[in-house]
Amino acid sequence: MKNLKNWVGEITGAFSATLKHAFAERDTVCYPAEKPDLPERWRGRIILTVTPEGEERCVACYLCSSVCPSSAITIQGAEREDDERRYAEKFEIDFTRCIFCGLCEEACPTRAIQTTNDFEMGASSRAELVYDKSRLLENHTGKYPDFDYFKRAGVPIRGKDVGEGANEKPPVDVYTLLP
Amino acid sequence: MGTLYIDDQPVEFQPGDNVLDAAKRANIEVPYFCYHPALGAVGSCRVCAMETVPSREGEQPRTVMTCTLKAQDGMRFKFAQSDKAPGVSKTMVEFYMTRHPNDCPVCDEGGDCHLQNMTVEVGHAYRRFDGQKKTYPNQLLGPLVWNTANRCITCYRCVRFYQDYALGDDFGAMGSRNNVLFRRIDDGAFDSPFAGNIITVCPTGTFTDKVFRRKYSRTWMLKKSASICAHCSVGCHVEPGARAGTLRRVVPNENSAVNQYFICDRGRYAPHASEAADRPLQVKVGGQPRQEPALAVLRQALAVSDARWGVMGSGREDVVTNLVLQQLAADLNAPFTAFTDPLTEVRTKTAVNLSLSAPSLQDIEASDCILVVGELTEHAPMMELAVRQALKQGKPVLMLHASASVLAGMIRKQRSLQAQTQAPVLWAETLQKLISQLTQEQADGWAALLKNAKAPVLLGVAEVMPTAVIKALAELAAVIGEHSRLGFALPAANSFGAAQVSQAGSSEQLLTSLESGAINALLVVGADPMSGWQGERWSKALAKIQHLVVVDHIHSATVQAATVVVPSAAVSERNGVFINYEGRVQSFAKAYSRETPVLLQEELIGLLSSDARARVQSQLQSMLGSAMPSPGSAGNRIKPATLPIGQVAEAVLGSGTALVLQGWHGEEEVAGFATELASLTPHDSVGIAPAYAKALGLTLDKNSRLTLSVHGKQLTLPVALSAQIAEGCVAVSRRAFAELQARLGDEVKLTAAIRLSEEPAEQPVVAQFTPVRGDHSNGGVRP
Repeated sequence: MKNLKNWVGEITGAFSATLKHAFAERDTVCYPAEKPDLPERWRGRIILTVTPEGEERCVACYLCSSVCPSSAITIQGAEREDDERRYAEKFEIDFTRCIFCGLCEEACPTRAIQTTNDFEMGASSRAELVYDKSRLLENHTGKYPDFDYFKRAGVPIRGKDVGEGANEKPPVDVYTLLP
Repeated sequence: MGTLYIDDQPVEFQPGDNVLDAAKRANIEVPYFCYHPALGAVGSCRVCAMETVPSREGEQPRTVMTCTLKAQDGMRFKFAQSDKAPGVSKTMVEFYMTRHPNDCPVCDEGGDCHLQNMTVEVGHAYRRFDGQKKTYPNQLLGPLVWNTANRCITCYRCVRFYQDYALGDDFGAMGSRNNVLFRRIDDGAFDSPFAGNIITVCPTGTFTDKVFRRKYSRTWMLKKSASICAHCSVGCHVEPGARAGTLRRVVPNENSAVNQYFICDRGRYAPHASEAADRPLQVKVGGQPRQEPALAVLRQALAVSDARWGVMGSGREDVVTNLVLQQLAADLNAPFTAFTDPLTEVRTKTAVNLSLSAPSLQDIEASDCILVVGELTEHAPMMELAVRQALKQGKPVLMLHASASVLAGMIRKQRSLQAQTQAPVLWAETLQKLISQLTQEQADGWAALLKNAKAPVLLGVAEVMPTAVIKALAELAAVIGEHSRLGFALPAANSFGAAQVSQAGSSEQLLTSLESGAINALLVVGADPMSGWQGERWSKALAKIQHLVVVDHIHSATVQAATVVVPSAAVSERNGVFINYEGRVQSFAKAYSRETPVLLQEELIGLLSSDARARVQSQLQSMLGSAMPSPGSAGNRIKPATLPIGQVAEAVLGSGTALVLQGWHGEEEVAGFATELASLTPHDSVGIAPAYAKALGLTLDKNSRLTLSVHGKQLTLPVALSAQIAEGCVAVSRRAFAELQARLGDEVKLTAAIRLSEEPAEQPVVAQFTPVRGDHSNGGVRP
């Protein structure tokens, strides 16, 4: 008798759950017709961003490639011809290796490298998943619309000489002997 | 030996240690900036402070700078900081950081920065001061050093090295009070051959390596190894750093036996020749690239049926390579040499035979009387830096030289009579005079100084010394006594080893067999006979032969003339063994492999028969004795048996004008291919003493030009008047020697040529020799 009661309970319980979910709001979406709503801090496709003035933010400091646990980032820095502003001559992310941990974004002192909530990166070969700089660089400031590292650094660049940065006094006159 | 206590922890110290040394030895992480083992302590940074622990009743604790305090038994200090009372160190670091720019991401020092390390160590993380930062203007310092003045923490290490240690005078502390900064009076490259070391001693990114900057990589990403500098015979320990198959930078590798903490600019920048745009990296046969492995191509080339071979090694190739080539020559029944010039061969071997008691760099530094024969700075800069240490301590440094030399200028500035200009053919006579004075017990002047010295050191430059002078110098050493040390700067890194493997008169033999047609094929490894002293003879001889196989890593004249070119590895790309001027056997290790594979010289052994391989092994055993030293170790000195030496005609004293060599410190066979260093090469000129020009009846000023005629060849050069050039001589560069097809000591005819400009002549310039800087490009620097 007790067995029968359990048996009926299980049947009705299971069917009622099925019935309830049949009419509940859906968690899945009809991708790709309908795009999922991802949180802002989603760690998807990695991009390189630019300053509000449109200059590349990356200064080729190698911190992202050093911190990358799967060695997916390859960089070679260079200096811009006219003002010695350092930039990444070569910047490659191998997305077949990338584990989207976001450590590169965390390490970046200039907020150049940022994760986005794009995850649609399907490709038909591994080589296509190695993104070079032309595919990584976006003409966008990303999550930090106002940040410009070189305004805060001490090195001179085009349009900002020594002593013209944020929080800097004009350079001292090295020839003066006045107190 | 004794014990002191830091935070109640016993710390052993050695005699002569200061408290900071002792703490460092006990692995207590005391921060410091201004202290440097080679430069000593000045106590200016105030960071290594500790608090004394009162030993008596009523005594107050004091704050002391541990770098300036000699360690004594039983001293007690309090160092540990607490959150409530941060120590002096933390406060000082916080002060330094108030105006330090946020440069770490764009600073080349980042990750290898003493200031970064110390800041992290004391736990300073946030700038509490919210005022504005003080800034300083940067200075352009030529193609080798990069300056970012804002990063300076005024530790004075750079000037203490540049002025106090290396005796330079064109760089110093400028400004007053809290506006002090370190720079040259004018923009431009440093005069000192050791300027690169301010990069090494600077604890921040104020001075960084400009060549490294152009191909920058974080230092932790570099592949490094313990290597030996291949650009002069001193054999300094260096650490090449490479990434992605290319050389990025070279820094000194600290060791106690050879060069301790520093290297010269030639050692630091000449290795970048491995990144020259024209470096051969492709096996080529008759100008056509080949895909086969280099060794297979070499084997094919050597198997040509109609060839009668000659084999040439080199003083810049290592011991094993030269031995392998010697045995390959035996296999092929071919003449072998490791020298391109018979005269240099005889001089080198004579010097090697007399180098058994050669002084180490430390011996030179500690000497109380040094006699230098020849222009040492221009041939072995680090040996000369050691001489400067004795000069700095007021010890007499005597010098015989024929052309303008940095060291001679330095000696003249202090004691005018201790540097003497004289034509090389007269040096033997001068030395004989010294010998007779010393033997006749009536010594005065130079002889007295040498006689009364406790540890006299005699140094010669083998390349520019006639054999008679080398012998006279040895005789002088013998007359002075057992306590004197005699050493020679040899022409190349492994000249000592090359001398061991070449028969007497081997280069003359190879050259004459080529000229007579006895051999019609030549294998050259790591040598450039066509631009050496006998360049013209070699070029003529090599133009006649059908097979010229060259293995090298620079685009030399010989490589350009070769029928088969096999690219080989530069020193940082391979393992090997060099023997330096003291007979010190030192091995070096490979730092990196290039992306396009090149022939490693070790592989040449694959060309040998098994008999020959066994002979190489046994010869190596008998030559180097005990086990091979490990890379980075100080190595062991060998004392080989006396080498047989051939005969060769030397220049003799004539009534005319002799040609002498005007070298400069960045000059060497490979160094010429390092773009940045080579851009500082002085302009070609003909150096002549004003008094001698007057005696010849020539009216010269700075706009004059002279035409030199030697053996029917003519060359017109602008005049550089300098009192540092010997009477009876004119000094020209190696390049001019090559163009004139002249040899050292050749007689030259001088005629005045058309003046450079038609402006009225000013007063004749009688000045110290100042090399004219090349028009090096600024590399896109802001004007």
